[in-house]
Amino acid sequence: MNICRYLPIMLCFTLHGYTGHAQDGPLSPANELRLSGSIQSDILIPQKDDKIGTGEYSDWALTNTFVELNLNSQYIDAGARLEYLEHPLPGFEPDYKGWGVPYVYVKGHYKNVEVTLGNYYEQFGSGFILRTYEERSLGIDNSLFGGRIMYKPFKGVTLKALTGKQRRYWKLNDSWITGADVELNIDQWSAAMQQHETYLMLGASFVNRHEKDEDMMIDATHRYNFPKNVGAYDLRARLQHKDWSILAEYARKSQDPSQDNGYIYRKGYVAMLSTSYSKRGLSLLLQAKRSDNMAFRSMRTLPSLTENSSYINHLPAFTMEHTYTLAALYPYATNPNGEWAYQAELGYYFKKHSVLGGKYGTKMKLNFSHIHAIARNIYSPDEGLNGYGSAFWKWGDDKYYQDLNVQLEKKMSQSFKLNLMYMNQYYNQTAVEGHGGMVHSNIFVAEGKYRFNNQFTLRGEAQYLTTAQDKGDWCFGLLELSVLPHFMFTVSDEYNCGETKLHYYTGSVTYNSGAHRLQIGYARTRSGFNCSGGVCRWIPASKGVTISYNYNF
Amino acid sequence: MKLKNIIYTTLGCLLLVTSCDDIAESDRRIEVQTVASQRAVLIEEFCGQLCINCPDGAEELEKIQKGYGADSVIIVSIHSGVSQNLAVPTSNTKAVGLATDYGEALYQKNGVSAEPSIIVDRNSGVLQNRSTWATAVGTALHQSSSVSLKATSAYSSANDSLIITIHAKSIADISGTLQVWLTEDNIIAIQKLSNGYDYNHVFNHVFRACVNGDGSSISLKGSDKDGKTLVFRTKIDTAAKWKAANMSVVAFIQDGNGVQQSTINKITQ
Repeated sequence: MNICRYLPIMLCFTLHGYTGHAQDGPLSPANELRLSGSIQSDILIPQKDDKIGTGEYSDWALTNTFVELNLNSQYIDAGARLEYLEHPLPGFEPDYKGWGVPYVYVKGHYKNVEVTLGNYYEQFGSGFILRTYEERSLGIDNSLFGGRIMYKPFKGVTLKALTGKQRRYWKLNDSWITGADVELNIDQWSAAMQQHETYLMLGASFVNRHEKDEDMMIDATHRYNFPKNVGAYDLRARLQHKDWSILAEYARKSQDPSQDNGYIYRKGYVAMLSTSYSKRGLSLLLQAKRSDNMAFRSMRTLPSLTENSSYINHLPAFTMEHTYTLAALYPYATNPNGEWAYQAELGYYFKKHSVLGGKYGTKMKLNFSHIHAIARNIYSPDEGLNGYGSAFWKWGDDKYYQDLNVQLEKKMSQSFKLNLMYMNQYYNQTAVEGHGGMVHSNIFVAEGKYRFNNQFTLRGEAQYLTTAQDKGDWCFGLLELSVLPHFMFTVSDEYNCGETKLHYYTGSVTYNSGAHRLQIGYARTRSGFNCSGGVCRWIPASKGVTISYNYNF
Repeated sequence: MKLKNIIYTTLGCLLLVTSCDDIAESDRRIEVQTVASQRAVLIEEFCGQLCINCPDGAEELEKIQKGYGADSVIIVSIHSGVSQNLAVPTSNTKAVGLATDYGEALYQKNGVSAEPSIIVDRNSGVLQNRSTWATAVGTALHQSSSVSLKATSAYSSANDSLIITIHAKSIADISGTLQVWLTEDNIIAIQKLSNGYDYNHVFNHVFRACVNGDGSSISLKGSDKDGKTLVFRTKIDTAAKWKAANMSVVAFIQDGNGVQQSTINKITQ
C-alpha cells in the first residue's frame, strides 16, 4: 500500500494554509499549529527454550514499533503513523510482517461539519454493524481508507456518512464499504425532559459491503452465486432517567455466505437489552444479548481460517476483562457465529464506620456472566444452502462460558490496602480453542499494597487456581516496589503445580520521567490467549530480554 | 420539516438495505461446464497426528477427490510439523508415528505455518483456508497438459523388492524433474481430536518414502512419439510395518511452472 505518496501532499496542504499567517507575523492562538504524537516500541531479544516450546527464532531481535504524529489547528488536522513490523514479536499472522506508513489522514472541521480523508476509525452504536479500531496487542487495525463526513445540522441531530476500503495488514481489501448513521437526541428539543433528567436517544445506521463475485466451487459441477452487495442495518434506543438507563439495540445483516459461516445464505441477527442503575455507593448492570450469524467482514474468503483481520463489525463481550493473571488464564472470545450472553454486575460501597465497611469503608463488586450456545437445527440435506434454523428463545446444548466473581477492596489502615477476589469459572475449551472440553476452575486472589512513605510503596499479589482439567492447578506470586518519582521494580512467577511443573518468571525495571516510560526486563512467558473486548490472539511461549519504550507528547 | 426529511431518508435507506441482493434458493448454485481433464492434479496435504483440525481437512479432500475421481485428484498426506508438536515422528517408540524427515523438510521448505494446509500442483502456494481448496483443485484440473505419464509396478514378497516403471511422453518439449514416491492407505494409528484421542484412526494416502531422492532430471521432446521409460528399484520396508497391499506409487513431473502431470498406481504382486 503506497500511502507514503499521499503524506507529503497532505502535509503541504496543511502547512500551506498557515504560511500566509506566518508571513504576517506571530501566529495568533486561533491559528496555532499543535503537534502531538507518540512512540511505542516493544522489543524482544529471544532465547530458545525447548521446555516451554518457544520454537526456533531466525532473528536476534524482534520488535513492534509505532510512531504517530498529529498536527492540529483550528480548522484542519492531519496525521500519520509509521509502523515497523518487519521483525514482529512472536505469534502474529505472516501477513502482519512489513513496515511503512499505513495510516494517514487529513481532517477539516468548520462549525458543525467535519470531513476526513484518508484513514479513519468509526463506530455506529454498539458496533454491531460497524466498528473499526486499533488494538496493537492483538495485531488489529481495521481502519477504513476513504472519506467520512459528520454533520450536525441542528441541536440534537448527528449525521454521518462514509465510504472506503478496509485495511488488512499492508494492503486494502478490494471490497467497498459504505455507510451512514443518524442519531437523534430527543431531549435536546424538550426543556421538560431535561428538567426531569430524562434523556432519550434514537439511532439508526446502515452499512453496505460491495465485493465482486468470486469463483468458488461447491462441488465438481457447481459454484456459488455470491451476492455482490451485503447490507446491514442497526436500530437503537437509549432512555436515561435520573439514575436509570436502558439501551435496546437490534441489527440485521443480509445474506452473506462466507468462510465464517461455511458459505450459507442465512441472514444474520443480533439483539441486545442492557439496563443499568447508578448512584453514589451502588451500581447495577443487567444485560442480555443474542447473536446469530453476525460475523461481518470485508472479505468473504481470507487466506487463513484463523486470522482476526477484516472484521467490519464487533460484537461486544459480556464477560469481565480480568487483570489478575490467573483470572485471565482462560479468557472467553465472543463467538461470531452465535451465542446467548448474559451479564449481571453489582457494585456496592459499605460506608465508613458501618459493620462491613470498617474504619475506611469497603467496596464490593459482584459479577456474573453466562454465555450459551443458541439452538441450531442443522439442515441435512441442505439443498438451499441455508445452513440451519434457530428458534429465538431456545438454548443450544453447550455452555460456552460462565464466570461468577466477587471482589472486595478494603483500606485496612492509612498505609495498607487489601483487595480480595474469588472466582468460579466454567470455560468450554472446545468451543473457544477447538479442544479440551469444559474446564471448571476456582480462583483465589489476594493483593496487598503497603505505602511505607511518600517515596516507597510495595505491592504484592498471591493467586491460586485450582482445576481438575487441562494442565491442573496454577499459582502466581508478584512483588512490585515503587520508588517515586521514577522507578518501579517487579518480580513475578507463575507456576504450574499440576501437569508441567514449569515456572514462568518475570523480572523488570521501569523508569518513568515525564511523558517517557522505559521498561527493561527478562521474562519466560507461557503460551496462551491475549484478549481484549472479546477478541483474542494466541501468543506462543517466549523467553528473553524485553524492552518497552513509550513516549507521548 | 428538516427532521422529517432526515427520518424519511433514513427509513428509505433501511428499506434499500433490507432488500439488498437476496438470492433465491434456486439461484444459489451456478452450474459449471465440465471439461474432460487432460491431467491429474497432485495435492500435497500437510497434516499431523497431533493436529486436531486435520481430520476435517482430510474429510474435505476426500469429498473433493470423490467429486472429481481418484485418478484425477491424487492426494499425498505428508505428516509433518514435528517441531511445532503437530506430528508424531516415525522414530517414536511409544506410538505409530507417520512423520518422516523428508516430509519435515518439505514442511520447512514450503514455509507451512499451520495445519492442515495443502499445495496444489506445486504452484498454488500454501492454502490454509479449506474453503478455497475445491476451487483451487477445480482450477488446476482445467489447466491443459502436454505430458502423459504412466506408472506400473511389480512387487515380490519374497524379498520385499519393488520395481517401478515410469513411462512419460509429451506433445511439446519439456525439461523438468521426475519424482517418485510411495504412499500407503489404511494405516491404523492415533489421532488427536478436539475432544480426546482416536486410537484407531484410519489414515489414507500417507507419504512413506521418496524413491529417487531429489528427483530424476527428465527431458521430453514433442517429436519423440515413443517417449521415455525409466525404471526404479526399491524395497517395501516391512520392518517398519509397511503393507504392500495397501501401497501405491505416486509419480509426477514438475518444471519451473509447477507439476505438469501426475499419476498413481496401486502396487500389485
